[in-house]
Amino acid sequence: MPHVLVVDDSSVDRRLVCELLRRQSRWTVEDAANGVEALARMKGSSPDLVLTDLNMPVMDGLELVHAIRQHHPGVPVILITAYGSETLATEALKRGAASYVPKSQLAERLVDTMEEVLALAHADRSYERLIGCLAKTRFTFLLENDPALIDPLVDLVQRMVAGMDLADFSGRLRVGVALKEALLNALFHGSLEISKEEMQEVQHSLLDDKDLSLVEQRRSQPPYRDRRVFVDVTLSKTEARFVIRDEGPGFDVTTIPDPNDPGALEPEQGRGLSLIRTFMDDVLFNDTGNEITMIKRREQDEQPQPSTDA
Amino acid sequence: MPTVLVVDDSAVDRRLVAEYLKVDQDLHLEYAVHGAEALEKMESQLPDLVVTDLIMPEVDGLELVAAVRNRYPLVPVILMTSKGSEEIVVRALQSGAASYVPKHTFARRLLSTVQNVLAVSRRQRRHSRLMECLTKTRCVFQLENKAALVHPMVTYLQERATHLGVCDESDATRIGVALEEALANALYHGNLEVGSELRGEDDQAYHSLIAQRCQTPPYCHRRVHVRAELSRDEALFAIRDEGNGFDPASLPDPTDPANLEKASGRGLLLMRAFMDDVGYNDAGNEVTLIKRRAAPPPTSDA
Repeated sequence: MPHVLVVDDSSVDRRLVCELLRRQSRWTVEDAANGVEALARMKGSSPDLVLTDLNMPVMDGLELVHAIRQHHPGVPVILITAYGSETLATEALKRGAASYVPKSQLAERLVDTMEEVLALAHADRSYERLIGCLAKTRFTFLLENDPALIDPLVDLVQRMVAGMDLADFSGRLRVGVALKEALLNALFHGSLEISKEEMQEVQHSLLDDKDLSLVEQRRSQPPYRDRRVFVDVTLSKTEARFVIRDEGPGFDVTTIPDPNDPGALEPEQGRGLSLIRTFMDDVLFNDTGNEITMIKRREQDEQPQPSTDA
Repeated sequence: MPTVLVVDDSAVDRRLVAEYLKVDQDLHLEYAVHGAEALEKMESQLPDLVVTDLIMPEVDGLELVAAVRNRYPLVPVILMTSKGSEEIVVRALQSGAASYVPKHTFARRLLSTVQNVLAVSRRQRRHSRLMECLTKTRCVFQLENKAALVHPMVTYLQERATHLGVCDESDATRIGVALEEALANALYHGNLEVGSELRGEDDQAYHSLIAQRCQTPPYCHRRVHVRAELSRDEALFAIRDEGNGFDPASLPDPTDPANLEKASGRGLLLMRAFMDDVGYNDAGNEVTLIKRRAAPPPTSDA
């Protein structure tokens, strides 16, 4: 059962609200006479929600909202507003209160508002918890030749990798960098057949946000136009696996130097591939060189989680 | 170049807004004098963002927010507020406005708010464009026995099904209802072995039994296993619990109207009504729900 802390300096109003909630709702109720007392109670155990009056001696509602946001950011606050306190209420909403109910409408609106706010507050935290329960997932995309699709894809993967606890912050970043390099490569070198020299020019204009005329031109021309990039992402509790395939001519995979050879720092394929090889645990190409498979295993310093597999 | 549609009945205020926004030369400004004209303009050309006053003749700010959210859900709306309009502001924010700027803080806040909202909405738009390129997806979840996980789980699966085009928006709601029934069933009846008899009879006892079982072995160690496989043609959801199961043959026939009123038949009835296929494994601890795409996939010649 959700628990609410009611804060009001008027004992009459406090009793009114508490009785209303006991009669009309499933909430368990606790009360405090001012902001200081409220914060003291919250030190023991946090309520699911705080309901507060605005005008109080000894720390008013505005200060309370501010303090709760600082010290208990997960606890939403609903204001009870009286006629004449609109400016204060607006300020409190800006400072972090979640909603408000006018005193004159407590009977009609209070319980519904509390339930709505509680559901929203849970939705945020629950999404993270939900991704934490993800044991395995797989996404298959067929991407058009649009560079604007790359960042959201990298973003999606990084968030999943974080939620599934596959890598820490820097590991996540490295997975993101490698994935982005592979996608850029498939799109520009593979599908659109932009050469290494031309690519430098493209990268400059990407940075300057200038018109990508060469890219735009290829994107509207056959055969480049009809090509797609196939992306398959598989994430489990033990590894992340990415397969990226373009419909371009590929390249001769025997020209890739042995990654263990120190002379390989400047391989034929340039910086992208060396980043990919450094950041991923395994990198494989198919024979025609238009498909790359990258594997990143769960980082070693983490304890393996007890498996609940049936 | 992002276009901002400024909606205000006062010419002075319109000019004021323009002055602050023109500092960013990348913004292209369009104007309307009330909500009705704004909606008219949006029909011929969609702006990237709407900035609107609240109190106007014809269609006011609140109505405009609702109409934009309805017709153009991807276009964000920022409210310009003045003293005394707090009540409407909160209602407008609840009905879908993205942000608000009090008029006396224009100098400090207007441009930065516009820029922030544009950036967020660009990111969201890119994300939905990406999800339109999704051709299939699968996922396996192992959920603890927490009621708070049911709703986000349902939302997650609904979103995937919508992105893949297996269902439209109204189907998404129905799929959601069916999944919610199946998950609640696995959690309460399956894993926690709490029957629905108590419900409605003695809610207090029902909830405290649930709370108690969440802490007690063997119930507390059980998980709900959710497996989903979605493509552009079909969505399959398999939901398994670690309880004792039941004899699927003992289920009341949900097509028999006499069983409509029985509590035990209600969840099944909803699942059968909203999904194309509903099946149980022999042990009765796994239900498989299948929804097929209704219309043929659109031919993409783009």
